[in-house]
Amino acid sequence: MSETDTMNPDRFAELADAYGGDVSRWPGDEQARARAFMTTDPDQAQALLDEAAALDALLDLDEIAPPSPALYETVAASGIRRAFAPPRWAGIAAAIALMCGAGTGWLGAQMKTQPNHDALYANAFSVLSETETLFEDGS
Amino acid sequence: MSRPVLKVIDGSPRRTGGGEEARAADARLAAGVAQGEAGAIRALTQRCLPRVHGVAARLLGDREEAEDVAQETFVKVWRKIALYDPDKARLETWVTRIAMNACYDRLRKKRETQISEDAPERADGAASAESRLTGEDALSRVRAAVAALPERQKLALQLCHFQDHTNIEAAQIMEVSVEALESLLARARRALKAQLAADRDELIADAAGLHGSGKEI
Repeated sequence: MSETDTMNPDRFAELADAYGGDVSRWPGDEQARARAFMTTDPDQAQALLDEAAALDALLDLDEIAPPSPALYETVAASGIRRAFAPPRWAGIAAAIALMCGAGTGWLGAQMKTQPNHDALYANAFSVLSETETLFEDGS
Repeated sequence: MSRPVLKVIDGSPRRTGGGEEARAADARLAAGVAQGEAGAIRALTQRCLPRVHGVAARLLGDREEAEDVAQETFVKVWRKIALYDPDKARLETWVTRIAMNACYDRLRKKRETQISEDAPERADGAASAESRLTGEDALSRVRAAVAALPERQKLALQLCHFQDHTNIEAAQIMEVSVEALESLLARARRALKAQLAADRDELIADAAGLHGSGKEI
């Protein structure tokens, strides 16, 4: 590896400052040059890494406890419930269909003509001859 | 602090890390969730809930509220999963960003309802001395110091230190450039170092004791 592939001390310090004392957690594209610097100036590199690692150790104390098994269940159940629930638009579509149906029925009722009672009456007795009467005794 | 302004890193957001195989796996999982497959829904929950919950707990500082935000986040995920584009981001990056936005919304609402005499957010790196002293042991002192950081610094630390996101993924989630992310991390760590420096040796000894005792944190 040539000199140009070695990181300068300032950049090494910046990376330790930002990403901590474990070089394997530094940006992937800078790790090789950082390791080269560790070879060329091991004392300075180690001092910077040790200082950063001390803070890492303190930070590790504040690790957030993992979510509870109950939360996993609640969250997964919400997804599964949603998967089996009808989509939101289905309710709207049903309401629109109902309104259309009711509207069509009402319109149809309004448009239907009133029955012609005289015609019905005439039609009901049209089978009778002029001499026939409704009553057998001829009254 | 205002919500971070969207910075377009290079014109169009691009997926980072993982390669073609991971992209295909993300696409399959998202398709399964969109089709309502229970297995896919469980797998996505298993994979992303710890990250979502961690970000929410770190930003909101309250476990119950973090659980609320986690549920709210996943309701959005189930609803919007069809919009996920595997060419643009890892699935967990996309989900974590939804969680981050939900947290910022809550924090903004909280700020809006705060009465005017409430103290403004502490300036960068200027966490007060009393927060250093409030804790009785190493854990509570470190916790207080981290909690006193500005929101974006806390989030950067959570994503990179605690959740092992790459710098590019973390920058994508936070909608900032990689350089800005690095600056947030460095400022956060410098502030913590300054705040905890006085008691560092004692804290490290306490920390070793806590780790040695296997105490659950």
